[in-house]
Amino acid sequence: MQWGQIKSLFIICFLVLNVFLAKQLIDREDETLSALPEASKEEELELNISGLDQLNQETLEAPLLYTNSYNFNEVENIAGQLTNQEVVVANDTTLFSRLKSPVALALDDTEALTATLNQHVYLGGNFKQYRYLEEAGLIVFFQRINYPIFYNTQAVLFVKVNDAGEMTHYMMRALDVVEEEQEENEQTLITEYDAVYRMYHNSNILKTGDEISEVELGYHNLVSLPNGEQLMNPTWQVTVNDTVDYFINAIEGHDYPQYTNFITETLNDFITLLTPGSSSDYTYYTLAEDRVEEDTLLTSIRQPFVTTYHQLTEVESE
Amino acid sequence: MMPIEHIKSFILILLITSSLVLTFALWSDQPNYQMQTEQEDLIDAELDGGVRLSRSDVIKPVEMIRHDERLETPVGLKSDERVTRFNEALKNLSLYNFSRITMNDPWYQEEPNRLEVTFQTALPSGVIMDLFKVDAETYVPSGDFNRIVFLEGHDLYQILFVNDGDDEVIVASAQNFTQNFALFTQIFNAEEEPYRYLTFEGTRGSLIYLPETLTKQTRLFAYTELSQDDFINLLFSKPSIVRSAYTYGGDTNYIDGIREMVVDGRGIKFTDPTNESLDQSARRSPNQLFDEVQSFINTHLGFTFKEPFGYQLSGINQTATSNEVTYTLTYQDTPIFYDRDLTEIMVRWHNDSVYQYYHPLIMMLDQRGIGQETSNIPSAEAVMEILNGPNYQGTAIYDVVLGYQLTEQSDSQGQVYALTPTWYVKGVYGYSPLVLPLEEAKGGMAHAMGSN
Repeated sequence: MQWGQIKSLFIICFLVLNVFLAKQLIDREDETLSALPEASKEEELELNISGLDQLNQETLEAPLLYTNSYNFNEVENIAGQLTNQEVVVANDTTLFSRLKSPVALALDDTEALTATLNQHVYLGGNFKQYRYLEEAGLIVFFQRINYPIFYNTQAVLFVKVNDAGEMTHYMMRALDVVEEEQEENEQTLITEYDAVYRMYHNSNILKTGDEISEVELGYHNLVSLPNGEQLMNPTWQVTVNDTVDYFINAIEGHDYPQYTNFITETLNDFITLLTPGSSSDYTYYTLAEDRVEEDTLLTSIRQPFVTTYHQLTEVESE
Repeated sequence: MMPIEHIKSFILILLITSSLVLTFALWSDQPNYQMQTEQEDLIDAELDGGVRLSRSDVIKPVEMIRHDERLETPVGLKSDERVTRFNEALKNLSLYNFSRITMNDPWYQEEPNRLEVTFQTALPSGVIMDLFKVDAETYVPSGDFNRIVFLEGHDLYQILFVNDGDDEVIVASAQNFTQNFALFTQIFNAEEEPYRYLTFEGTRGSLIYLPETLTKQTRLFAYTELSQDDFINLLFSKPSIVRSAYTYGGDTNYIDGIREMVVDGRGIKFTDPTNESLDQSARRSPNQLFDEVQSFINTHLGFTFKEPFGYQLSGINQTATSNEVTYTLTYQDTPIFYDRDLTEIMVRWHNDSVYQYYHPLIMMLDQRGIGQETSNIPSAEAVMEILNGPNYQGTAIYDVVLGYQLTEQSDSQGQVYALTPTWYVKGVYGYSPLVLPLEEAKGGMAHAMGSN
């Protein structure tokens, strides 16, 4: 009987001991598992950068584009397509326009804006709004060839608006596709996620706490060829914290340097072509009947943009 | 009563056994953890995008020249297909009857009908086994060569292995030499418009061949960067303990307490200081050294290129303190000598392991745009004039090659590299860009100036 009680006691003791040992073992295994793999690079990215959920993991394809500056003077009957405006083309590739009567723009409605541009701006339907600089009354558009062409002095449209938000003048340059490398030369692009990954791990552009606001595919000039062509490369535009745009080569993943004064420098470049005494070649279209001297058109287009330029540079210097 | 006691005994035995098992499991848990850590460190690293190359893959001639008394100038092969055919015909040649002779005067240059195959660097005679069919038992004398000469109708010799800097020449015979030479000649004769060469006599009295017509173009290439982590996994025995720091110059230094790897964005420079001193008693022959270094690079797929780029052996240098093997990047078998950080793999191999390892971090990919004619490159005649002029007075000229140089394209915002044809002159310190006279240098070629 006594021996039976001792056995019961031992059973209880060993039961408690086994529960303890089993718990120790389970805890140890959990600990081992969590200690073994260091945080992967993907986890590190996800921990430090927000807004990754919206990124597309789909692998896209797009060709490289060979482009040339659009020659407005080679367009047959361009005058017939320019309504309600006086136009001067400088050096074949830069078009300046003064609208005879201002045109209202629906800035909040993208579709309506595109429709208006299509109607009143030559090639206007091929441009997409990039920035509206309200204080200076200037809207900057980038050309689209399937995708927007980022920060290219040869593919940009500046629209001057008055205080009522109506378009009064515009000036533009555009690119024309020389040869689109077809399917056999379609390039496989890195995904949106890969672009952000490289920005964080390879280029150290992104800092802890940054948020990815938007990622958009477009084209960026890869290199200007000696024959005057531009080779355009598919490029991801990554907007960070709703404020800064970064550009990542969508094929090899290298980053492009940041732009600082693109708008003012390009604006100045355009204005210089209208400066009295410049060596530009001018071709005039659809001049108003009451315009006696062609040169006065240059001044009337140039002046509002010069004012805009000064407003922008003053803001920058402040 | 008895059955209950039996059951209790059974349960007790079961509990005691299980407690022993659990205790043992807990006891042995820690060593398992350590083993896993060690396994993590032993990463069998390979470079992404790299390939293995055989010894014969990295030994390709720079020039293949045919001398024919009926032709005004020496000629070379133009079409890639014929170059391949010629190389295959060379490989199929069976050599025997090797010996060594002394050649005080390069009399072979007077032979009117001959073929010359020249290489970038002096090669040990052991590589003859890689270039031709030679029986394993055949005696091949030791020595170096940078030029193979095939003599047509010579009384004594058929094939010479000449080193321009040496009087000692290895000679050999080939089976069915006459038929094989006829095949070589046939390949050259089939070329309707062969490359024509001008001949320049180098410092050692050797003949240097300069292409009369320049057909190489400037080309742009996209590139990718190799992973630094792959090199860390490869070169450090415990990658997990490697720490990094930035230098004042903007480079990154990786160290594990002993070994060091400096990364400057263009290449890596690894050093294992504990392996600096060279054990003289265990010195390798140049051929063995080449073999070991080639195996080392192949093990981690260290030849990182995409065709038509490639790597060629460009030097086996042994001094009292160093064993060094270098490989140079090529484009369509033409060497790209500059910029060395981007185009040269260098291994200093001491005591059966790596002492120093330099490797580019940039790998060229596809061409972007079309090739552009290069207008400001001097013609072969102009180059000979420059070499005979004041810039090269008293300077050793061992070879002149129209190679390439690789530079970041200035207006590409870091997106593409430009491959530009450039003349190189081989002097005492290897190949360096041709130094142009001052007035020509002003024409945009100033960047090509400077010596090694």
